Amino acid sequence: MSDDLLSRDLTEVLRGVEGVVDVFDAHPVVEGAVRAVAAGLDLAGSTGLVEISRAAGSVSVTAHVATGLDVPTPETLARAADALRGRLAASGVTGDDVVVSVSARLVDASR
Amino acid sequence: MTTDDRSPLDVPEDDDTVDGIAADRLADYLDAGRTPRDPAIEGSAACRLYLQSLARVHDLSRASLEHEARREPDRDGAWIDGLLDSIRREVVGGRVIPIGHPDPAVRLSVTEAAARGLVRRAGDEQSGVVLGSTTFDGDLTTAGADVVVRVTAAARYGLDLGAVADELRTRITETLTRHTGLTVVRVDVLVDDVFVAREDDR
Repeated sequence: MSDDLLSRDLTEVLRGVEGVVDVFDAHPVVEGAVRAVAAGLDLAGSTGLVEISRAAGSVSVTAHVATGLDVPTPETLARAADALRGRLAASGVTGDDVVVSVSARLVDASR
Repeated sequence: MTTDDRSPLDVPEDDDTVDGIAADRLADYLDAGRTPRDPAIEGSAACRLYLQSLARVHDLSRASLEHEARREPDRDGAWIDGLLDSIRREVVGGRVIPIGHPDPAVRLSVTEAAARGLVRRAGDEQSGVVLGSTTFDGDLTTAGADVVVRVTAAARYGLDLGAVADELRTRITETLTRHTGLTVVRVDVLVDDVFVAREDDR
């Protein structure tokens, strides 16, 4: 599976996590700008929002989310990280060099 | 575009934009009921925080502020502008507040902007209060760190300001503890303005 496909898959995984009310684009700004254009063209569904970067045998997976007010954010973030790690493992991305980062950029009412 | 998390840390934008989007455009978008959905705005945490705060300012205090603006248009026009400017500055990413996790390969965090958004929500949900600015004093880059929160607020004329401050302290401490894991050791509340309520502004 390509990283772009994996990113889309992980984005969908996050959307199914209890307490996650939205997923934001975690890609670097230039890439994010390109994706914003795609979003403007109604192509957002074709882009993953989770950043996956590989370097020297390590894999870094970064996700930015909005969490809901009704669940403590630390619990939601831990669940999100578990869900990401589970899907990564199922995709063959495992090992000590896989780092998963999940950041709450917004705490909001559930929609 | 979602550049809030990639803005230079602790450097507020010095123009009238939020994450590169004009504040006027955001106000118009809010007035239009956030429809049709604008993916550039809705995909930005900073814009969402700004809209969240702007909506609450409108909902909670429009009547009183308009009433005040009619009484003293110059003073209150400036006050509202200052409040919106404060909100705009607070929605940028800021510092990253880590949340502890037993696995070192898992890194969890909340942005300072999200934490300030929680404080503003806590204040604005309190009857008769409009939150001004929020600052955190402490080592936010350590999970569970001690933090002193300082807020300014406007309160409705006639309220017991001591009780207002006590309730605000409780609300802020609860929400930050629940959602950030920070240890709130003190909340300093400075009520720096008073507004006159109309009968329909409860």
